[in-house]
Amino acid sequence: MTASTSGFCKFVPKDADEIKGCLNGGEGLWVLWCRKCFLEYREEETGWGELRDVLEEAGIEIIGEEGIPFLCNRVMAPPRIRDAVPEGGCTVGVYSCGIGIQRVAGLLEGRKVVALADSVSHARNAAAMGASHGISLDGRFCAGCGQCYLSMTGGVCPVVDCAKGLLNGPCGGARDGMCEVIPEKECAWLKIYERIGESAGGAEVRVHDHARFSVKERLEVAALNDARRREGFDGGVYPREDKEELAGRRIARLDTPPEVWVFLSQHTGVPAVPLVKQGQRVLKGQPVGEPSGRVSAFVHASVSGEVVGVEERVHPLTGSLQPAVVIAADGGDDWYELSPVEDWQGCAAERLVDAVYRAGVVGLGGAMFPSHVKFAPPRPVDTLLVNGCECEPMLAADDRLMQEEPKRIVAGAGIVKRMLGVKNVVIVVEDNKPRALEVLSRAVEDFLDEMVVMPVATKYPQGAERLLIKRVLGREVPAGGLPFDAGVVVGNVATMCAVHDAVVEGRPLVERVVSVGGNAPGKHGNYMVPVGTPLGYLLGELFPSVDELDAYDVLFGGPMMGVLQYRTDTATVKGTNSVLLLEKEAVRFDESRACIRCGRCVDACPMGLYPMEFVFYGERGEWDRVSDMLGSCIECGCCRYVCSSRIDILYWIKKGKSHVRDSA
Amino acid sequence: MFVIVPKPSDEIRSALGDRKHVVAVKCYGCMEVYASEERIDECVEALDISSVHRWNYLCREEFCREFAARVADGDAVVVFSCGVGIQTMAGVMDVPVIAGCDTFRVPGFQGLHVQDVDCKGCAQCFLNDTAGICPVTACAKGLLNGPCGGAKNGKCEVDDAVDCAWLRILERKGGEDVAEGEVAVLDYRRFVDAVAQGSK
Repeated sequence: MTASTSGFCKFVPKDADEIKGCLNGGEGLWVLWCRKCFLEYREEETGWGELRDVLEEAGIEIIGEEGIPFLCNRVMAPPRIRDAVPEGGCTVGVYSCGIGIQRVAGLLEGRKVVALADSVSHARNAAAMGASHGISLDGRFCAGCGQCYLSMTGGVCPVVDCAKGLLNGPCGGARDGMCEVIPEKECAWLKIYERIGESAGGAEVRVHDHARFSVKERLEVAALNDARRREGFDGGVYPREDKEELAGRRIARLDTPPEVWVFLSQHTGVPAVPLVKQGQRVLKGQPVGEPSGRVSAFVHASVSGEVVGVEERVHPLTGSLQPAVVIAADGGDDWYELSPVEDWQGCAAERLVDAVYRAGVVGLGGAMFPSHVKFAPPRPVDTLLVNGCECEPMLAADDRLMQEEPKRIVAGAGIVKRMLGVKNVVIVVEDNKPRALEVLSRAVEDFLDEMVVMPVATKYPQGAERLLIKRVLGREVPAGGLPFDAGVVVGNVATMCAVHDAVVEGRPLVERVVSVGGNAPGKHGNYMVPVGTPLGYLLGELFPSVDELDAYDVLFGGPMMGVLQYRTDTATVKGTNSVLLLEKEAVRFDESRACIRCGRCVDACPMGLYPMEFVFYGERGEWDRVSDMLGSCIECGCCRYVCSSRIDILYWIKKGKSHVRDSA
Repeated sequence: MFVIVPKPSDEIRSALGDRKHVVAVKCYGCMEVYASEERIDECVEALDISSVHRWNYLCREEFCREFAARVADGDAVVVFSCGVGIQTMAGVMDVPVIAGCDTFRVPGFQGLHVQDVDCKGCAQCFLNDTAGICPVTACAKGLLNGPCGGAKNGKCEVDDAVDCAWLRILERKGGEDVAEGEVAVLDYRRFVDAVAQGSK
C-alpha cells in the first residue's frame, strides 16, 4: 500500500517555548525519541531531526539522544531505555506518543521527564478524541465504545466521525455539508443519510451506555492477553490448531511407491557420497550413501529394488536440483542384513552412538541435524529434553507416534540418556494432546526415577529448542550458541523412536510418519512413508480427486514453517513430517508490500527481535545492520503470521541469511 | 488494543431484517491472542448464514476489496471485526454490512502489547504537569486540575478496580504543590487543528 502515511503519525512536536518552560534553566536535555510507528519505515522521516534544530535554536542544549523502536512496548523497550539513559545530571526529554512518554516516566521514577510531543489520533474520519486506528492506515478509526452502531448508520461511525459524537441525527449546524466544528470534514450524519437513504428516520433514540464494559472487565481482558503473550516465554502466537482430524487417525502404511529418490543431502552438513552404481540390486535398509565428514549422515535404500542411477532431482527444501539415488522398487520387502547392538543395555555409550551413526538417524523434528553428533556433545550436559510439542498447527505425526509407540519412544529416550550420561530426562508434550500425555505417562511409570512426562500449555513455537529450554528449565541458550551451551540436548520423539530402532533392532532410518491433510479432498491421515517417496506419487495415491492443484499450496511441514513446493517432481526426505494441501489464501503473502510499522511482529517475535527491520534493511540491501538479528532468528514465522500487511517477512529473512552465508 | 465481543444474535437478526442470503466474515488478523473465535462461531451458528469466511485484517481496504471481488454472493454481510474493519468493509461492499460484534478497548494502542497506560490523542499532552501520569485517560472523569475528592481508600469512585489517578500523580510529584499551577483546560481547538492538519 502506498497511501500517504504521514497523516497517521500519532504525535506532533510541542512548541519550543512550552518545552523551555518545563526545564530548569541551564540543565541539559537528554532525549529519547521513538522511531515512530506510523510512518513508513524511514528513519530520516521521524521528525526528531527538525525538532532538535528548533530546540537548539531556542537555546536548549541537547546533551545526548537515542532512538528506540516502539518506546511503548513494555517488554522490548524497558531494558533498552535503562541502558540508554545516563545516570543523572540531566533532564530526560521524550519525543513519542503519550504511551511512550508514560512508559519512560514510569521507568525513571524520580527523574525529571519532559514530554516533547503532543499526541493526536487522527484519520480520515476522526473528529472525536479517543478513537483508535486498529492497526490500519486506511483512514478509519474506532472508539471501542462497546456498542457498535454501524449496522444502523450505513457503516459510518457516529461516535468517531461526528465531532459531537451524536447518536441520533445531525446537530443541524452543518454548512454546505461540512462540520461546523471542523470545517475541513464532512458532516458525519449527512454521510450516514446518504448511505442508508430511505430507511433513515425510523430508528429509536439511542443512548450511549458507558458502563457496558466496566474498567474491571477491560483490565481482565488486558491481563489475560498479556498472560498469554508471556506464557512460558515472551512472544509467540496462537494460530488455530485444527489438529482434531489427524490426531484421531491411526498410522497407516502407504503402498510402496514404484520408485524412490533418496537424496544424498537429507541432513545438516555435507552431503553423503554414493555407495551404489547404476543397475545394482539393493535391499531395503542397505546403505546407498555414506557420510563425507563428521557432520554428515548415511542414507539407505527405503525399498528393495534396482538402482536406476544417481540423478539430479528437485530437492524439497531448496527447490534446486540435487543428486539422489533413484531406486526402482521390485515390490519385495527384503531387508538388508540388520545388525542390532546385542548388549545395548550394558555396552559402552560409544557403541550406541555408532549404531545411530550407521543407521543414518537425524533430527526428525525438521532440522535434520545428524544425531550421532548431537548425542555426543563436546561438553557434558545434564538434561535431555524429549520434544513432543508438535506446536505446528494441523500436524499430528508426532502425536500419533506418541499414542501408538510410547514404549519405543521411552526406550529410545533411555538409550539417548545413556549416550549423554545425563540424570534428567523430561518428555515435554503440549496439553492439546491429552491421549499422548496419558499413554506416555503410563509408559514411563516403570522408569520414574529416570524420566518424567511434563505437559505444557499449547503455544507456538514452543517446540523450538531454545524456547523449550527456556520454558521447561528456565535456562537461556546464549546467542550464537547451541543447547549444549546451556547443558541441554533436545531431541524429537520420532528421533527417539528411530534411535530405538537403530540400536535395538539394527534398523536404519528408511521410513517415517507423515501427516497428510489440509483442506483439499483426499485420504487425510497419518502414513508410514518410505524416505524418498516422490510427491507426485503421494498426491496421486492420497488426493486422487484433486485435479486443479493450482488452487492449493502444497507444503512439506506445517502452515507456519512448512516449505512451499512449486513442483511435484520432488520427494520426501527424512525430515518431512507432513504433506499439506492448503487452499490458496485470497490475500497472499507478498514481499513487496509496504510495512506500516504496526509493531505486531515485535510483540510476536519469541526471540526478542524487531522483524520489520529485516524488510526495511533488506529492501536497501543493508544486511550488515541486521546481521546479529539474523543470527538469532529461528525462522518460526510468527512475524509473518501476524503481519498486518501480509508481508512475506520470511522471504527477507531467508534472503538475508543466505547473503550473510555467502559473504562469510 | 481492541477486543471484540459478538452481539446478541437477536440484535444481529433484527439488523438483518428479512434478508435471506447472508454471508459472514470473521477477521482473525489481530485477534489471535485473545482467542474469541469460538465465541464468534457460536454466534454464527445461532444465525441463518449461507457461508462463513475467515479473512485477514479487514481494517485494510486492499484486503476488503479482495473479499468484495471474490465473495460477491449474498444480500448482506455480517462482519465480525473491530469497528475499523466494519467501517472499511462498509466502504467497499455493495450490499449492507451488518456489525456482528461490539468493540471495546483495553489500554494501549492496537497492534502493540497491551499496556497499563493509555493515550487519548488529545493533542495537548499534560504529562509535563502530572509527573508522567495521564489525567485524561487514567482519571475516570478526565479531570485536569486535581482529584474530585470521591476516592475511597485510594480507589476511584467510578470503578474501584483502579487507583485514583490524581492521588498517584500527587504521590509521584512528592508533595510539590500542584495547586500553584495554572488551571488546565482541555483545548479542543488544538485537537481540531491537528486533525485538520492530518486530514490534508
